Amino acid sequence: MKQTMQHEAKLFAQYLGVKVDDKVLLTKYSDAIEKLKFSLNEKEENILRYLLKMPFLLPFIDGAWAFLKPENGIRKRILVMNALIETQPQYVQFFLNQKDVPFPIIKLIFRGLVAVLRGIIGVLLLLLFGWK
Amino acid sequence: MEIIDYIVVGSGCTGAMTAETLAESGKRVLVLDVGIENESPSEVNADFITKRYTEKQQADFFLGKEFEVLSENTHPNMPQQMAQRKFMTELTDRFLPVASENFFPAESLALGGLGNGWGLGSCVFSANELKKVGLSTDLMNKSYKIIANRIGISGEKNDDASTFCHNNFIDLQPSIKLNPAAESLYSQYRKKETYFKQKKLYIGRPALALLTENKDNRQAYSYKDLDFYTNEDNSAYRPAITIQNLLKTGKIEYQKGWLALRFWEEHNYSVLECLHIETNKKKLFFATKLILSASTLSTARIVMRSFQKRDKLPILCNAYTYIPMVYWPFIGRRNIDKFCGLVQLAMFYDKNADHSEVAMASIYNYRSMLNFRILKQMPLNYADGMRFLQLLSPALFIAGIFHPADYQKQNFIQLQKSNSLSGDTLFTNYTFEENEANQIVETEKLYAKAFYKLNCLILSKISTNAGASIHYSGTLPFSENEQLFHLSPEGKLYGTNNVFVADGSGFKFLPGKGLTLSLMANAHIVAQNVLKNV
Repeated sequence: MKQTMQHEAKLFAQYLGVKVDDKVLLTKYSDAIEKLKFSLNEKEENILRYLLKMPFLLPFIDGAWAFLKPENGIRKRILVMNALIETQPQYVQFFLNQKDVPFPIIKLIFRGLVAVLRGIIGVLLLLLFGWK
Repeated sequence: MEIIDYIVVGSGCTGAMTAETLAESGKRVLVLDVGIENESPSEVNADFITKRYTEKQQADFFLGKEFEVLSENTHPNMPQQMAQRKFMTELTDRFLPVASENFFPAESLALGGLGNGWGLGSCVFSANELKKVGLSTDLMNKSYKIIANRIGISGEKNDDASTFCHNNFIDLQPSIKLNPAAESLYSQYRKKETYFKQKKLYIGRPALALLTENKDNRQAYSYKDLDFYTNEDNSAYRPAITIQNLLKTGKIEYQKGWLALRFWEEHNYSVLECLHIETNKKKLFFATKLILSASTLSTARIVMRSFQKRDKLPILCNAYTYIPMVYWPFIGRRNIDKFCGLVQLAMFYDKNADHSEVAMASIYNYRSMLNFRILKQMPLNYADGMRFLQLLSPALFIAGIFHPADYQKQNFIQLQKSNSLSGDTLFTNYTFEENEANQIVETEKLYAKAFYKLNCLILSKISTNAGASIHYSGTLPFSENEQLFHLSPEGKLYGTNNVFVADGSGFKFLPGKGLTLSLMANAHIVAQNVLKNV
């Protein structure tokens, strides 16, 4: 696996809350991107380089793209990682509730608000960096 | 030259039923088909939850070995197709090319045709609907019963949906057990029944071509929630089951690899020219009677080529809207093992209160198609969206609304010469006139309000492209008057002596209820007419 692809896979896995030393997952990601031919354009490549250096920006930028540019190439790749994580038994607890969740509506509203706030900050960042 | 008694073109729901009826006569029946099969059907040894918690290779199962499910090269009207069902639409772009700006029908060259992806909803058409379609109520009601006994249908005998689903014309196995969220949603309806009935809305359990009791060599449904991936023990009816049973018992012959191109008649027999999909060689088959049941669009292609005319033919297609929604009392609930991914409830809207123009919403619990497909459509960053969806998914429902369809003069199909392997391309056009479009919007609003009344939060209303319902008919309408590109009420193609059409080509109206059971019932009637030598 190419070094950059490995870094990218680690970035996305970490962003989605998964341990970064899962080699099977990283290899599968690289394999999927190759087979699906999800290439990035020059601008997206540049943005990805920045995000690799500043991973803390990803939730904000991703949130902004979700509003403004859902078909963005980087988002497509993050979704691939998400689908791979969803189909690994060790991460199933991120997707299926084993027990009834206490105060689910409050948690849902909180999650939603956090996501929207990140999206708004992300839009400002996109404007600031000229990545729109 | 070998003349076969009956040649049936196609092995989908109508081809299978035609072949079965004809085979009962003891005469020689040959089914000709392209017959693409699922080369590596998935083995199921666990239910959805066990698989998700234990199986290391589940990505291959859920996403496909080539990650097909994530691919962007999907059929425009089948974007959610599972890897296990890709075979259904394989090679159609090569052998059934379509050119259009607005209508991309889904077609199949598979053994069992589009019946492989049938949602199993089995509704009989009302007397008013049958009249508009151009079918005899008496004959169809008898035929519904025969087909139901062949394929096995489960459902509720007496609820508010039963007059729309089966009207007690057919024998039913007990209905499937509802998932807890659907059970709860249904109890909400029972409490507010008066409001719904005032709005001419009725909710109940749909009749499904799904066994809840063992039948012949098929087993009862086992609630493993892998319905979109496999068909364990053949509990769901698929036409390939009929074809394989008929083959096993030696009642029919089956030749695969053949794409029917055109026919002509000589003396007292029909000649069918076919193209082999692997060798591209052509071959002639000879039959005393030829029965076309290749699907509405494929049959139209064959007939247009055979008559060597470039006429525009009419076409009907149900408009389709889907509504993802959250039933908030189930947010954050734990996931259970025994679960059903098939349609749970059906909501019918009887606009004229006379069963003449009924729209139907099929209500599904969303789970086994995995969260990432929904996540993709949410305007949230993926990391937060993932956690958000974990809470939301036990409460997620999808309602798919089928709107009834009448002829509109601007909608047509036409065969045009091209460099394709069959030598032509189907040009299609399908748009909605203002009145029809307004009616669709009104119906969508009515359904949205109804779901809101049931404590559902509507996430969006998605009006799909024309063709997404995968319900097509009306290219060769039934007619009492003999005219080219029309069918006699018995299913015989005017302008021929021995060619019959047993698929939905003749249906002059497309009710909003699922049409598959009616297609099969009509195919049985046409096959009987073939035997009677009408």
